[in-house]
Amino acid sequence: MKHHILIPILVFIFIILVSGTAMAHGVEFEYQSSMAYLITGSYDDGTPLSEAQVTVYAPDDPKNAWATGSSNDEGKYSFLPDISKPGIWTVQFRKAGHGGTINLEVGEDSLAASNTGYTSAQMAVMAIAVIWGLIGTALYFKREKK
Amino acid sequence: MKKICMALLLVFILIVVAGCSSNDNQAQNEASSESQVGTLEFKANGEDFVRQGFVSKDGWNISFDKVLVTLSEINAYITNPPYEADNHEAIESDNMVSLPGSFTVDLAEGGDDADTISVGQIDVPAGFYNAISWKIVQAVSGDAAGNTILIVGTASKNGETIPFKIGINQEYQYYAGEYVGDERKGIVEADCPADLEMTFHFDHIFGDGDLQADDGLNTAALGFAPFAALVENGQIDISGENIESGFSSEDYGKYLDIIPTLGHVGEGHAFAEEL
Repeated sequence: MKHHILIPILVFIFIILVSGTAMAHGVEFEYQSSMAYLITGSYDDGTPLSEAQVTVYAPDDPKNAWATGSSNDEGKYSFLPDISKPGIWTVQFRKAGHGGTINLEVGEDSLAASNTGYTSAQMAVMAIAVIWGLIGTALYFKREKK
Repeated sequence: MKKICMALLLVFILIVVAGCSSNDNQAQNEASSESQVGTLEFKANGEDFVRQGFVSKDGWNISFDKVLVTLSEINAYITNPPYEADNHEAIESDNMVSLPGSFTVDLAEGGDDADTISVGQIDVPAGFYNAISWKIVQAVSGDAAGNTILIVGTASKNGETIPFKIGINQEYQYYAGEYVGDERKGIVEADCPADLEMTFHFDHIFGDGDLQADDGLNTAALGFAPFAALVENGQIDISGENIESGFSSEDYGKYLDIIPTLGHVGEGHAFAEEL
């Protein structure tokens, strides 16, 4: 009876331990997911806002630019926000009298997602599912035998 | 079975309570900033185009003596999420402050390097005022009476010089998000005043000779030629009905499309509603 309970638990622990790394012929990999933002600026008619002046503001220091740069020929600009600073990040594009702002919410969900690949809501659902599974398993083995 | 259901219900309640407490913290942060008061100044700016003059898309060298704009119902807002004019909606926020009164200001006042025009200032709770709305309304008295915008200046091309007085009488309300420019505006602190700017882009009317002819701004602009065609006794003096009757239907359509695009916040666009 004890073995019936222990074996699935050991298998579960084994899967958890192994799932964080990938191995192939002794070569090890580590990975870290990130939440880079790729922003494309364009005029109303769809023409790319190329070589535009770009300014990024972080939520903890709204007065001073967190980063500056310029868009490429296709009007694209990418940046990797500091996920320890949750809140609204503001990105401004400007070129020859034209300009615009985009606001990006970098929050706890983004923080959790960048560390695990799942959002808080997804992890909550998974936690409930695991708890439900454990309870179900326990009840299965605890049931009265006819 | 009842105990299991109770346990699951408890987990669910804990998750909900955790979410609520997070929101409470956010609300407390917003409220704490309201205990301090600072100064918010409202400015109007016709940019270097108005102060220094420019060449229109059709080669007219334009300089301005006066650009009178009558502003009213000027409001600043703290919006969260930040207001975005591209959504084409009015601003909705409980955190709004107002500059009472109507003001006729001259955007061409001062020299080539004059400061932007101060419209007025008020004491407001500290915070980041990241949206603004204002109306352009017909002046009830003075040189600009009957006009929302009165443009007075001189246009020259190929040795011909035409003094002009152009009156615009359409009334609009502009809604805009945060200022787009060299600095970030609207961040009011107790020991640090801030300003917001109502910017007007007159190159949208006349076009910009420094840009390509097929640039979006120039293809949408009238240029000066339609106005030059309305010269009488060596000068242009038109407004309202004269513009409608004097322009071709195509040019008048363009003109009506341009007026709501004049209002900006720095280089950021505004959403306009006709009044």
